[in-house]
Amino acid sequence: MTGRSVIMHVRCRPDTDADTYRRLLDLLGEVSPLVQPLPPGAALVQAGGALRLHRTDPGALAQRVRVRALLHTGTDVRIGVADTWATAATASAHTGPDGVLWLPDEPAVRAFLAPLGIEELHGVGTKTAQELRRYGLHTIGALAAQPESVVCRLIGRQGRVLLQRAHGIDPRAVVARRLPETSSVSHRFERDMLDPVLLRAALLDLVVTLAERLRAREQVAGALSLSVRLAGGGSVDKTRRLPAPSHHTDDLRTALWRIWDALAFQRARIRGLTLTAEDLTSDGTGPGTQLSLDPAREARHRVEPVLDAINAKYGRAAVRPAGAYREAG
Amino acid sequence: MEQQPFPLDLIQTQSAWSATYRTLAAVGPGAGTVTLRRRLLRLSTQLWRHPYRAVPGSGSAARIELREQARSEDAREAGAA
Repeated sequence: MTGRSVIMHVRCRPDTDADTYRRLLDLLGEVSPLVQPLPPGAALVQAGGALRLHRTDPGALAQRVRVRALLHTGTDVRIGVADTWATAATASAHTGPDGVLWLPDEPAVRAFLAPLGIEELHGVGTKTAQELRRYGLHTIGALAAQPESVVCRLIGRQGRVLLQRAHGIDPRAVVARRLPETSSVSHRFERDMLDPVLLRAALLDLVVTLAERLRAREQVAGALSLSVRLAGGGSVDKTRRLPAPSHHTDDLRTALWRIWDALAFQRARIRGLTLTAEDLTSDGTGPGTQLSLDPAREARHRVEPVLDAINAKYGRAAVRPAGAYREAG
Repeated sequence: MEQQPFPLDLIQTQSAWSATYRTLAAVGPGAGTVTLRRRLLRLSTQLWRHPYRAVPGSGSAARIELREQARSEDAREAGAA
């Protein structure tokens, strides 16, 4: 049979780090080209078209993926295999000691879903679950037995979608995507730092380095996030979306000062700073650039390629903003 | 329909496989796992290429049945020891 949908929902352990997750996605890409990452720790694979290539059934393929994941990335994954997204996601949470749960046909899906508690259904939150339980609908099977009009009266428009999912129907398709890329630079202070001038100098240095790197790679960032490690071992993170994707030092610097002001540190002793450019996309995709009516800004943008060329020729820190020179202060 | 009993070597391979997988998953990534990884790979190949697998009807249900038999075998051995 061709065109059959076989969706694998791969779930990592909650403590999986970003690097392992990325390697896992690469590995899943070898199984089937249709991989949709669900960060931070899950992914969907449409393996319907890949079964013939691997000459096996979905359950055995999932087992192989699991072994490969452990061998190559060292992470123990759980895989739910079904014909829809919602059912596969529910199945991956109930694999038991085998690590793989394959629901090959409709009776199997129904037999699996019916006895589960209502909050196990994909898309049901605590509030909806409470509401449904109040009316005596404790299991997914009980919900599936209700007519649509009743469920919609209980929980509103969402009821229709949930009722479909209780029947094992989910029209959402797996869309092949890549994990949004990020790039980060960090600075560690030799001693815990209190001095606001030196902190600003370090931040400025980071943002200039990051912007330069983005321009060299011809990428633009959609958001900027700053992670500050404090002396006590704790850390504070803050993310800010840029008004428009950009790789200009100016735009990134403005966003960074906004973040820094919003953090409003007073006497925090700071051990390290990490600045991350998120949602990287390649420059030139998306809508065109808005014309700037600010001549100073235009001038700074025009001088950027020149500064980059000088820095590329004479070393990374040949030309920097004056504020970024820590020793001069 | 009564399921044919599995060959003993297949059950033993399965139980060794499960034990190796568990150990490797508990250790996590890093150094010192080469032996375990090689062992898991070898056991996986043995498991998937076992002649018994060529018998028609040894599908998903048989796989689950095999795992359960391996588990009960382990439990019996643990009880006897």
